[in-house]
Amino acid sequence: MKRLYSASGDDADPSAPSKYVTLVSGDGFEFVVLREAAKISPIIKGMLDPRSQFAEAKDARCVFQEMSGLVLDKVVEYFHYWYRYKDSEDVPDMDIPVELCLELLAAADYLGLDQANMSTK
Amino acid sequence: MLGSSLFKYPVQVRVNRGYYIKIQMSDEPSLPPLPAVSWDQQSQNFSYISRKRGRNNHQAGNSSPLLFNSSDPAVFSSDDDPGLDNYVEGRPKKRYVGTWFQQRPATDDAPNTLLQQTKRTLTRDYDSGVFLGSDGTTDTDCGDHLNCLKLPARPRPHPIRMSQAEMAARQKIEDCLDKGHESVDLWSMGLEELSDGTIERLGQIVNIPYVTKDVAFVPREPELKVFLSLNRLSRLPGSIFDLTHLVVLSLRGNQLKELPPAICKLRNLKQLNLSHNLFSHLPAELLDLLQLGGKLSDLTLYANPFIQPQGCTESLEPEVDGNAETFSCPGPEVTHRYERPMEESEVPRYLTRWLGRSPVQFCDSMGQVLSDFHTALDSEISVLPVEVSSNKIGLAATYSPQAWTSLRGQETKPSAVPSLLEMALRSCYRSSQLPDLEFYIPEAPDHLQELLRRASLQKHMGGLICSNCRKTLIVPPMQWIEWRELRTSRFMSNAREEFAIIYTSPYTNDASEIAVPFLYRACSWNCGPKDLDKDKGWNMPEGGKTFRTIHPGYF
Repeated sequence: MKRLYSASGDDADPSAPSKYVTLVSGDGFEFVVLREAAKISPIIKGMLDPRSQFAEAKDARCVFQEMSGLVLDKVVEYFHYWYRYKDSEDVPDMDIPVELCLELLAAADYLGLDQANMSTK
Repeated sequence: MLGSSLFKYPVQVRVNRGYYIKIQMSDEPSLPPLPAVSWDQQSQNFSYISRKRGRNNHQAGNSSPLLFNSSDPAVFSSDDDPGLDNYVEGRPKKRYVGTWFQQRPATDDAPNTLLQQTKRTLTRDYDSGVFLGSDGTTDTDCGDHLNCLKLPARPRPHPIRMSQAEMAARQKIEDCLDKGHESVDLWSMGLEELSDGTIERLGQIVNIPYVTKDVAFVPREPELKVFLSLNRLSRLPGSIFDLTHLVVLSLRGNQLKELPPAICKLRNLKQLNLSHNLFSHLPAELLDLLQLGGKLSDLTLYANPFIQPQGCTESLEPEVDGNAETFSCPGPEVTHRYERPMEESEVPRYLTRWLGRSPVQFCDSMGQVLSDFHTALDSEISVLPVEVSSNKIGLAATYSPQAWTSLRGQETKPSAVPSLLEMALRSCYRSSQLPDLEFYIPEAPDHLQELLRRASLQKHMGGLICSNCRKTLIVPPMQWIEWRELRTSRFMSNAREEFAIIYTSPYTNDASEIAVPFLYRACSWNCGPKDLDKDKGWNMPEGGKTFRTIHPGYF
């Protein structure tokens, strides 16, 4: 336990987790994402919490069996879209194709990408 | 002549089916009985059992198309028989049944395996296309086939039937379209619901031009007038806001609770009657039509149960606003005199002044209210607290910004990025299959279906937009009420256009009706209320001299 707590310390620690995490889709596509961008999702944030004993936190690798590569691609695009424009006044629209909308709706619901979580980063 | 002489003798006449018979013209021709043979298509043979044609056995699938002919096979005799010359009656002739190319030489007795006759069984064809009403077997037979095709979808609601009243309304609309009448009178028809399809037809109205001699043909846009007064409508069809030529819309005496923000699409609207409904607020987008350049010149708002600001006092003192004297209570008519030529279009017909704002209600993307303050527009509330007021009217401002800060926290900054949930919903909203989408996610939790249902309903009503940036939104994260006071203006100019006078008079004379609530929706934190930027005056054209009118007929 002590070792785990020390690992969750400040970023200057050499044993600090890497800046990037890997998200894996059900059909095997891997996406390397900025950790800070991915942590907008409270689910991923919980998975990657170093204090937890999850395997995801140790490997910085989250597998989403129920998401296809196409959907996870859009989710990852959104993470970076949010990261890029979170502080700007003028936010352009991100295009979401209609044929993906239902799957993305379910994915967003699963990942907790809700307005309430948007406001408190 | 020759023929007639020939017929005096007994002649051999070849008749149907190839028989040569000898006839006398005086006698009735006697046909020999048809042979008791039948052509069997399966075996390519004659059968002497029955003349009934054999039943085609489709399931065997071995019959070539050549052999499928429903008519009786041709029967012919061998004309080129050398024995024909010394023909004597009664001589047995060789008879063949069937076409010549189906006759096989006697030597060819190789068994044709394909043409083996299959045992006939009494089974029923499913797709025979013939069934009897009393035949109960059809249902069970088809049911087995359909069960495996069923998709795992939720049961869909039955389509709503059109009511009698709407049928009558539709008939009237068709009449108007036929005759080119621009005034569609649907007064007091007992309408409870009006579907999009009924109203949509009005978009196709074509103005029938007035053609006479010596008058130039001028194409004119139709000026549609729709009167839906005195019905029982609780919802408006969204397609009514797509009627760009709508000039007059009367909704008086219905049971409407909310005017959709899509009203701002009706740019040509001149007359709007909203009286005697159940409106608790108006959309902020209605103010677009009241702005300078808007055509709306006749707006009727009362009586409606509008939400009133808390602490609105009835006795209000007149206050001095700059050099202009204005009155915050429904005051008398005010005259503005301008010593310069003016156009009537410089002055809007309705002037509005900002009075105050309610606290802001915050929602998450699911529509759950997070803030302490709840606008509760559905419930029967009549008073809401005031958070920020213009201080010119006796509104008791509460100044409770805790809702704003409690959500923002101390160090975090609100982001203008919409949530992915909202963005996916907007994408669903663009789909033409939006009403059916909720049935495609059978195993998902119910709240997603609820959201899709909500989006579908909003699309039906014409959609919601952000009051600030005009983007389409599904679940507004923020909404609040702003109260405004209205005045009507009248423009006068003297003949030489040296000066102009604008009379403004209060919209209402009842002190409890001054504040008109307008609902604002914002898509993100950036589009939130901007109280400091608000212009709190009447926005009269500059350079006027304002004074109170003693009596309206001053000039």
